[in-house]
Parts: sequence; C-alpha cells; structure tokens
Amino acid sequence: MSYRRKLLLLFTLTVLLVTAVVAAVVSSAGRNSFERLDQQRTDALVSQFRREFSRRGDEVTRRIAVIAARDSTLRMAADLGRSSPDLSIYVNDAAPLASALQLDFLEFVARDGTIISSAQWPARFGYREDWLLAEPDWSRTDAFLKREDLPDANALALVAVRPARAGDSLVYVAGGERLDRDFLASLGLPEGMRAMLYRNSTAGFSPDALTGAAGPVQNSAAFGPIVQQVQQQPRELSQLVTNTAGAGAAEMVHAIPLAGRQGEPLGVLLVSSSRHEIVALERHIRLVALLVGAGGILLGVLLSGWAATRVTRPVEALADAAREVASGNWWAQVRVTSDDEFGELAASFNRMVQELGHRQEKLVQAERVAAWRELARRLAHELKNPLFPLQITVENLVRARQQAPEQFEEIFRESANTLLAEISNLKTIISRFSDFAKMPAPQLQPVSLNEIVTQVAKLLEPKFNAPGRPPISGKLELDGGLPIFHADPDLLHRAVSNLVLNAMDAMPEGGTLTLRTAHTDDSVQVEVSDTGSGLTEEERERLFTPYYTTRQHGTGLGLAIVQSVVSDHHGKISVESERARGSTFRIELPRHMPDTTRARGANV
Amino acid sequence: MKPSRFRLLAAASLLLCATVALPASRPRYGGTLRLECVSSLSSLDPAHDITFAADAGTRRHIAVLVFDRLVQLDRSGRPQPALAVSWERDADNRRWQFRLRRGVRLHDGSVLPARLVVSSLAAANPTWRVRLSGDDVAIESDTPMPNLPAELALPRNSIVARGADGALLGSGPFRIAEWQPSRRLLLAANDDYWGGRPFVDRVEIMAGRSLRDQALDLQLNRTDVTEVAPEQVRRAAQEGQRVVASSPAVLLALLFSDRASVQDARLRQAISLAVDRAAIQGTILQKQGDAAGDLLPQWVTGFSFLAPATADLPRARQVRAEAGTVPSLSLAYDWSDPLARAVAERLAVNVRDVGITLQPYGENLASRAPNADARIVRLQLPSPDAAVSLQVLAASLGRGDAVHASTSIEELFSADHVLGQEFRLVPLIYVPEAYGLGRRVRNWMQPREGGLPLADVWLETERP
Repeated sequence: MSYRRKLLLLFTLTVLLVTAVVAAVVSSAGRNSFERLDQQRTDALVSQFRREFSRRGDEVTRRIAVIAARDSTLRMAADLGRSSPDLSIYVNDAAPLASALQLDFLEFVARDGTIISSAQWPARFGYREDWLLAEPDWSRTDAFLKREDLPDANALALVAVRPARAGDSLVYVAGGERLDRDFLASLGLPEGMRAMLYRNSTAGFSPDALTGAAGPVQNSAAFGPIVQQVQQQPRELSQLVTNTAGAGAAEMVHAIPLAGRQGEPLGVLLVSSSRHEIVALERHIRLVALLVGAGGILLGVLLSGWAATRVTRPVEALADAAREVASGNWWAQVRVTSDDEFGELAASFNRMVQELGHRQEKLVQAERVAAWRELARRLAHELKNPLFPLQITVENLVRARQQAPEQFEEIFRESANTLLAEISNLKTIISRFSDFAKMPAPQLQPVSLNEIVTQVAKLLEPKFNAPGRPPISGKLELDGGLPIFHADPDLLHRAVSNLVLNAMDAMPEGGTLTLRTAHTDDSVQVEVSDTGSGLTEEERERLFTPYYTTRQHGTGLGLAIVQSVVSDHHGKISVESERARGSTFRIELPRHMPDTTRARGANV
Repeated sequence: MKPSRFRLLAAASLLLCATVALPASRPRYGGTLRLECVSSLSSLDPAHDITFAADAGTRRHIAVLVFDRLVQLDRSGRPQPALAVSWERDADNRRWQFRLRRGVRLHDGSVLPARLVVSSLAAANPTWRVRLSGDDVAIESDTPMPNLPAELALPRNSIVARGADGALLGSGPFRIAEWQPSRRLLLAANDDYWGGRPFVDRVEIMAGRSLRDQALDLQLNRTDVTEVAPEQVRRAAQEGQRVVASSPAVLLALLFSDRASVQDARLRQAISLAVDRAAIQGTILQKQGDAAGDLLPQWVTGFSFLAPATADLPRARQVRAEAGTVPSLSLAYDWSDPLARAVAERLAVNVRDVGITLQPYGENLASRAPNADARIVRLQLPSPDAAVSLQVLAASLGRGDAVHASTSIEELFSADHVLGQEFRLVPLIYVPEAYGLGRRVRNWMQPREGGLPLADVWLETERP
C-alpha cells in the first residue's frame, strides 16, 4: 500500500473516529435528556393520578356520608332496632339511590353483616358482608380499594363505608365507584400518555384483565412481565415496554400496585408514556447527525486526500528518483519546490545522487581497469607458459646449430614437434577466450536430461581412472520419471561437462563424483556432487566471476560458461558446500521455457 | 308457609276482595272498560294454548270471556252447567253424555250447532271419541275420565267457530269487535249471551304494556284495570291503590330443557335444594305468595305442605358432588317480567353456594322458546281441580303417562311425587294474580284461581 493511501486511510479513520465519538456523545446526551423529560412527565401523571384518586376517594366518602345521613337510611336503622324487623321493604332501596348519587356500588348492611339491599347485585340480599364487622368504627375511615363480587365477574372498586345510627341500632352504608375504563377516561391524561388497569382476577397475568380508557388494550401481553413483577413484589416499578409494533410504539410504563385495605393485592395501575414522539425526535436528531457526520466524513476524506497528496508528492518524487537511480540513471534529480523538511530532503537526495554518480563512475572505471588488468594478467599468465618452452626450444635450436650441427637435424625435429605442440596449446587458450566471448544462443529442442548426463558420464568416465592420479568413483542417480523438456542439448552438455571437470579437479585425492537428476512440477534438476575439500565462503561468492579460478592453470571461464548457459535457459544455478565434505552444484531449469526464448531459439 | 300465616293471608285476601267487590252503587249498564296487560295477545285461539307460554294466563282469561265451554267451575271449583245443562256418565267413567243448552247463539247471531261442539272438542282432544247422540254430545275414552267435567272447563276445551272471513266466533259474554294483534283488542258485550248481557258495553284491552306504563296509566286514569306485579301489591296497597289479588295461583318455576347439560337429575335436584324460596317469598315478593315445594299449591291439593320448600345446602352440596363436573348453565327469563328476572338472579346466587354457575339472561319468551338450559316460567294454575291441573302439567312435561285420571288423594299424591322427583319442573314460588282497579270499576269479584271477571263488572259514572 502506498504511503499516500496509508496517509489517506489514517486521516479517514481519524475523521470517522472523531465523528463517531461526537455522534455517540451527542446521541447519549440527547437520549438521557429525553428520558429525563419522559420520566418527569410520567412522574407528573402518577402524581396527578394520586391526587385524582385521593379526590375521588374523598368524593365517594362524602356521597356515602350523605346517604348515611338521609332520613330514609336512619328510618331503616331505626326499623332494624325493632324486634323482627321487616327488611324486605328495603330490598330495592339501594339501586335508585346509587343511580341518583352516581355510585356504581351501594349496599345497606345490617349490624350483623347481612345485606339488606344491594345496588350492584340486588339478588344478594340476605347474604353476609363479614368484612364490615372487622372495623369497629367506620365513621373516620377513608376510602379504600376493594374487590367487589358481581353476578358475572368481579370489579375493582373505590369504596367508602359510613354507619347510619338510630339510637343503638345501626346500618352500614357501603358504596363506591368502579375502577374501570370510565374511571381511567376521567383522569384527563395529556397527549401521548395513557393509564391502564389490571385486575388480579387470576394467578399470573391474564391479558384480558387489562383495561384501558378505550376498552381492551391491544397487545396487552406486552405488559405481562411488568405486571407479574409487581404482583410478585408489590412495589412501584418503571420499565420500558416494547410491543410488536416496533420501537416507535414503545412506552415507558410506571406500574403502581393497587392494594386493598388489608394490603391484599387487587391489581396494578399502569401509567404509560408513549415514546413515539421521543423516538421520532431521536430519529430526527440521528438523521441530522448522520447527514452532518456523512458530510463531515466526506469533507474529511476529501481534505485528507488533498493533504495526503500534498504531503506525499515530494516523497513520491524522491521515490521516483530513487527508482531511476536504481535502474541505472545515476544522475536522476528531484525538483526542490519548498524550503521545508521535504525540500531539504530533496536537496540532500540530489547531492547524494550526484555523489553516488561520481563514485559509481570512478568505481566502474576502477573495475574496468581491474578487469583489464585481470584479463591481461590471465592472458599473460596463460600465454607465458607456452611461450617459455617456445623460447627454450628456439634457443636450443640456435645453440644446436652452433654447437652440434650433426645433431641439429634430430634436435630440429624434436624442437619442431615441441613448437607445434606449444603453438597448439596457445591456440587452445585463445579458442577458450574466444568461445566465452561469443556464447551461442540456445537452440531449443526436446531433450532428455538423463540422456545428456549419461553421455557426459560416459565421455569423462575414462578420466576418472586415468593413470597418475587417484581414482574417482562415478555414481549416477537418475530420476526415471524425468520429463522431456525443451533445451539446447549441446549447451547443456557443455555445462554439465564443465561441472564434472570442476568436480574432478576438486578431488585431487580421489573420491566419489555423483550425477543426480530430479524434477518437480515446474522444473528439472541436475546435481553434480564431489567429495572434495569444499569451498570457502569467499570462493562461493566469486565462483561465477569470469576469469576467477582456484587452480594454478585454470582460465576461470568454466563456471562462467555454466552460468551463462543456465541463464540463457532461464534457469538457476546454486552451490552447497561444506568444508572437508565436498560441494554440490545444482542446475534447475524450467520445464516450460518462456515463449520468447523458444521463439527466439526456433528462429535462430 | 306456616298454616297461621296462610290463614291470615287468605283472610286478608278475602277481606280485600270483599271490600273491592262491595258495590258502592247499584249496577249499571254501559261504558267501556279499559284494561291493559303485558301480554302481546298475538293469538286468541284457545287451541293455541301452550302451558309454559309466558302469556298463557292472560290468553286463557280472555278466552273464557269470548268462548264458552260445556262446563264451568264455580268459585268453589265445582263444575256448573254452561253450554251443557246436564250430564251423565256410565259406571266406569269411560262414557259421558252432555245435554246441550238450546238456543245458544254465536256472536254472528247464528245458532250454535251441536256439531261445532263435537268438532271443537275432538280437535282439542285427539284421544277422545266425540260424537252427537241425538241432541246430546257423547264423549268416550278407553281410559276412565272421572274428572271430565272439570277438564271440559279448561279454556282449551272452548267451543270455537270460524266465520266466513276466518274470524274467531264464540258464544261467550263478549264478542271480538276489533283485534289488532299484539296491540289492541276490543270486546263488545254479547247482547244474546245465555247467561245475561255483561254490564259494560265494551272492553278495550291494550296489549304489550309494561307494568310501569300500566301503573302510570292507572294513576292518570287512562285505564281502569291494570296488572300488578305480586311484589308490588304491598306497596300499591300502602299507597292507597285498589288492588285485587287471587289466591296464589301462578306458579313461578324453573323448567329445565332437554339439553344434555341438564340431563342428570342429581344436578337438577341440587339446584332445587339450593334455592332459598323463603328469601324469594319474603323479600323479592314482599311476603306475597307462597314458597312452592310442590307443583300445585296447598289450597288446591291439601298435601303440598308435605313437600319441603326450604333450602338444604348440605344436601344440595352432596347431590351436586355426586353429579360430578357441571358446566356453566344458562338460565333464560322473560325480559318483560321483572319478577322472573329477580328470581333468576337470586337463583344464580343461591346455586353458586353449591358450586353451580347459572348465567341468567333476558329473552322475549312470549315469541319463542329460549335456547337455554333452563328458564323461568309462569304457570297459571290450569284448573282449581287438582287432578286436572296435575294431568295438564304432566302432559306438558311429556309425562302424561305418569298421571292417571283419579279422584283418589293417595293416587294424586303419588303422581305429584313422581313428577316432583324428576325435577324437570322445579317449583319455586306461588304468586297471586293481582290487578289494580280504577276508581269507577265496581263489582270486581276476583276468582280464586285467577282470571278476569269482566262479565260481572260495571262502571260507576265519574262524579265531577
């Protein structure tokens, strides 16, 4: 990845991170504010409900007290004081009174708890309301919640009780209002808020028992968990309730346990605040934040791109110049456009390149001189050897002519043979230099590497056991599955021969020479191993340098020719060596030559 | 009810009747008597008499004003001549012969033919063989008919003719002058009535009037006679209204349907045992009527007091437990009958004590039978004759085989016991039939078994 891209990525990530952090902080702060506001609204409604509940209780108590103080009620109480009172005449009194005073429940109950008249359940006369007897004095009690049994169900009621006394006789007047949808509707809730009532009619949660001001509550099952929590542990609880309609339909619900006079759980009042507006507001803010964030990110990316371009332009110019230098242009220069650190860097680079150029020029000249000297030394050395016998022979001829003319003829013939031999030797030396100078292009054709290796072994095998030197044992380890591939058989033959000759030279004390072939999916390999003294580190580094040799009489061209052949076949040559154990030269050639080479080979 | 209370109530009723019936002036003819009733009077045909119909009582009362029977019962319940002036029977009560009154005319002025008697009776009683025997009518049956005269006094044995236009014709004291079904019935005095012309010229009956509207109309003098609910009799009397009441002749009962949910007699018995009849009588009915432990009232049978009318909750719970699982039962009552509603609701409260759920609901039972497990029915005493009443009830319950015609008190008791132990019809309370009378109504002689004695009533001229 380029430095510019890295910079661009870094800047972009920085912008994204900063934007995300700011958005998260703003969103969190906004949500907290909204939730505080929501909680305040819910608290206000709960407080309003408590006031309304208290006011209703006072109102119910007042109306019950009015009924208890009526003449007809006092007459009823007086009648009850008589022996064998006829209560049947009062059986229908409760209903019209309850209707007149807008009470949902009203009962007249005798001192012993027997119902005289019941508005909510007229047929229940004669039955008992024993709970009334538990309180010794009802005259100062407040209204309370009570579960009222009705013919078809039961209801939750806000009830008050007042005694009506006539002398020692007494009638309880018990009545109240039903806590139902009408009661909830009368609470006067602000927009977005609602109150629901759950009656504990059965154990657990029954969705049908939840009523709202508009009747049965839709998706009432969603309120099950909070109702059950309050049922299990009667305390006020606030909870976010989300129904299936999604987050927009979520409500913050405050649950208030409704308990009877003895603390018995009768139901749960749910005051909820719709989060629709809050969610919509949050969505709006989030959308704005997203748009602003996206715009900021886009702007940040553009600015980052501009900044990265501006920052990396000198660096890229430096890199381009460096690449030019690397490719051989030692005089590449960078344009200095600023006087900052990059400008200084560019100027330094320019100076460095100029210095390097000068030094390279000097080095090349030095190497060239060294090479010529080496060539001259080698030539002189190679040529000096045959020249010396020539000089001796000619001097012998001159001396024989002068000192022993009778032997001249014989000496002449011997000297002529010697001269011809040394001249031949000179021609050979010159031929080697000439061959290296004009290495032919490979003539590609299908070849078998095993066959070439076998031919080399056969050709040179007689030299392994030549008289006058310790024997060398030859060893062939050929890969039977070696594939046919395209190569120049003559060049390969020369390369392998050179390696074998080198190996023989490396074993003046005799040893084992191993020729080994192998192949992979992509290449064929040939290895030539000796068990000689091995190579030093310096020798390994200079092995393939032309004219470098470790022998007294070598030209130093053998391995250079091998490397040239391998290189022309797009192969590789490597050497592994270990002191006192020998060396292994490995040639690795591609099974499929590049088209250009084959084409070139085919055309040549 | 204790005998002392019953005697007191009977004496009070008779005194009340006597007071009301006491003429304040001499009888006078003329005038239109206005009467209102709850019944819709959708039909006047006595052949349509259905025992458990909500308005069966009113229809019977009107039927006897328009149509004659061969025999009628006097105030003591004894058979008296009507269209038949005399009758004879064979030794085993299988064959009766009735001598018809001569010269009786139908409301269209034609002479009532004897064959009309034969056809009317044959149609109403398919098991009888009715035929003319000279000028007499002979009635034969395969089974003894010792109570045939009382049976012939039933409204369903009225002699009914149909005019050319299909209108019903009778020979009773009043003729149908105008009839708007379910709305208004105008009866005119039959000048040719063999028993003497009624005092009033016309009787205008407004049908389908609620008790509240009737009471209001009576107060405003827009009517002369109204029905008064039994539970309102006491209050009405306390408020100074003229109220007449019969003996407890209307049985308020719980009639179970044939549905599988109430097929277990133990369940029905448990409900019967759970009912607090004393509370119904003492409170809902404001001490009117009698708690009913038997199908027929004590004053008819003389042995009804033997049937317990008090609630027995321990026994009810035991029987209920034996009945096993009991579903929630529906209980229908006539929506226009406040007493039936109050009783139904009280029943629901009572049976809750033994673990049975009754769901009362109102329905217009005058127009159709309810689709309920049980219903509250008003059962007008068919006849002051116990045997005949029991026969009618048994036949209505589909148990005509359980009651054989008999004059023996033991056999009657036995038949009554058999019907009662089936708990198909659970008696709850006997209530009197009560009427509120306007200021100008005179000589209202309320029959003990209920009814409208309009043929004997005259109207006093209003004084300014």
